[in-house]
Amino acid sequence: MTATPMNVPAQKKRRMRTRQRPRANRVAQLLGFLVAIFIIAPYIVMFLVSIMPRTEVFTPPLHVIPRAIDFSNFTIPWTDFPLPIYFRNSLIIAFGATVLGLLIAIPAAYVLARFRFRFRTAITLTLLMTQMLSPAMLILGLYQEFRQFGLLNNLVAVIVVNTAFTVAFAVLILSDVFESIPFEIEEAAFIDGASRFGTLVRIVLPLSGPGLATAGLFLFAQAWNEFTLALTVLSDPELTPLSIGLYQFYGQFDKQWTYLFATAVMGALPVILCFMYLERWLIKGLTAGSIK
Amino acid sequence: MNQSLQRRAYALWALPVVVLVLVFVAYPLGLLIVSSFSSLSFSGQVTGWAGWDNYQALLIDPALPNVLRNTAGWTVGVVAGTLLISIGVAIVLNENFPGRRVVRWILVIPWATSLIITSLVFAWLFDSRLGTINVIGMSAGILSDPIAFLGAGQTAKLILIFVGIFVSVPFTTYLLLSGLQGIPAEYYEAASIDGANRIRRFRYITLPLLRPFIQLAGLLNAIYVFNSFPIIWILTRGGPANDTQTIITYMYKMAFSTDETGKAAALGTGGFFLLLLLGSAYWITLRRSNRITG
Repeated sequence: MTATPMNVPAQKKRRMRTRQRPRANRVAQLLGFLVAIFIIAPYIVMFLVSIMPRTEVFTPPLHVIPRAIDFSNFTIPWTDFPLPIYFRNSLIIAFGATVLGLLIAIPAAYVLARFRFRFRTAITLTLLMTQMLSPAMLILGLYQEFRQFGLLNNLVAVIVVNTAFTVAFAVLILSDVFESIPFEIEEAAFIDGASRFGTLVRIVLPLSGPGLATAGLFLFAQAWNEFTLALTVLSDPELTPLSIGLYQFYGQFDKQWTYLFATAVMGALPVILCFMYLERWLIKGLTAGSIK
Repeated sequence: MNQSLQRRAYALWALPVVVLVLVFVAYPLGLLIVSSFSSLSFSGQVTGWAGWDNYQALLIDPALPNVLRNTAGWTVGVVAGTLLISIGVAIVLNENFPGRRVVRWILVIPWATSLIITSLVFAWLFDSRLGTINVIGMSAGILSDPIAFLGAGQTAKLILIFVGIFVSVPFTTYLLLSGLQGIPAEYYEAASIDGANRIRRFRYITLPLLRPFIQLAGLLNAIYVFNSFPIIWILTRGGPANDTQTIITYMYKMAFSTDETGKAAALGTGGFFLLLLLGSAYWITLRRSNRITG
């Protein structure tokens, strides 16, 4: 795949516009809206439950549209359940994995983009290998490793393992972004005596804003949503992240669906909004991350 | 010479990534494979060499054929369904129409939402007592009694595959969309002038040019689905009676619930080698598509 620059050239935009066919648009619009309704419907149901009074959920006759609205579902869990702890732990894990991931992915992506060196293919192959594996597949080995090194119930270890499994994607996205930045811009700085590291920090990174944001968002979302590893190596209630907290809510015999879904809405909305905000860049980031 | 020395130094910039992957991906993989040839204590500690014992125990496990069949059915079902739907959705979203932005925003929701939350929503929709499907079905008079959708093997399988497709479509659609956007409009214009209708244009332009992307999307999806744990674990836990157990969930159950760590390690190792096959196909496809598209 050829490298696609993050900024769509004007020429391409014009080409996309000329493809527009008035006759097909109505059909496409109708189909597009049908798809959208189908996809959002389950989440609408989730939202409807989250604003239902707690007892209405199981009071016959059962119904889908709430008769009354009760926003206390969004506040009560904060005091009656360890929600602050869940959110705190998820934030620590997700921010940690994002920062660590970017910190090590940026230099790796840069050398992969700019140099042909001996271990280049080996490194790329290793990265593709990790994209293939998941914590779930290796969970037994991970659990043994955690026990071996005394890492059970350790948030830092969870951050590091999350990063190990997601960093490959970030490297591939970023190296594509860096490749699309003309080398001549850097060369000018070299002539002025700047170091490689200096040009990376002062020239390349500022030009890679959307790419960095996309890579960062992927790292954040994957860690925020991670389930299997946390389920297995974090048993201390003080260290429970949101994904496990929701799972435990659900596992209770007398589950409170309204609290469960109100919490889910609060946990999912920030990530969804970030994805929507960066929607334009996702497609390019994706192409780079999976096709390189 | 100086240049090449310098270049080798730059390889060090990639070192942290490589070390991290070796310590937390390659090493646990090694532990998994070693465990599969070891006898293990109650808590999963290696106590000695076991040769092929774990594999033998796994092979005579009466649940194994079912687990393998389920894994194949789950993976093939989700990937095939995802590709079919995503090709259609990508073609629709490649057209310009008012509101396309909103549709694309909505499309990212299942992708951005955690599998836990999406699975919980479907657990609710298909709940045997309060679930939305039952409630709507009953009040519309279609159902006379609520159905325990997830309580029967056959419907549970179909629902799991449905949820798998639901969460896979956004990523796959985006990938295919990037492929569609790379097809020059001139091809379509030339074909139209030659009198090719929509179907023929799809058959002879879109499909061949999109093929590398379809292959990649399918393989990536297959790898992802093969690895997937939360959907099944939340909706059915592999039940009823192991009817929806896949390699991943059965391995997890054996390792952490029923104390059959050795067998779990053997199954995990087998799963890894199956994944390796998929991965090699991915790698070969990458190489080939690189050659095709330059």
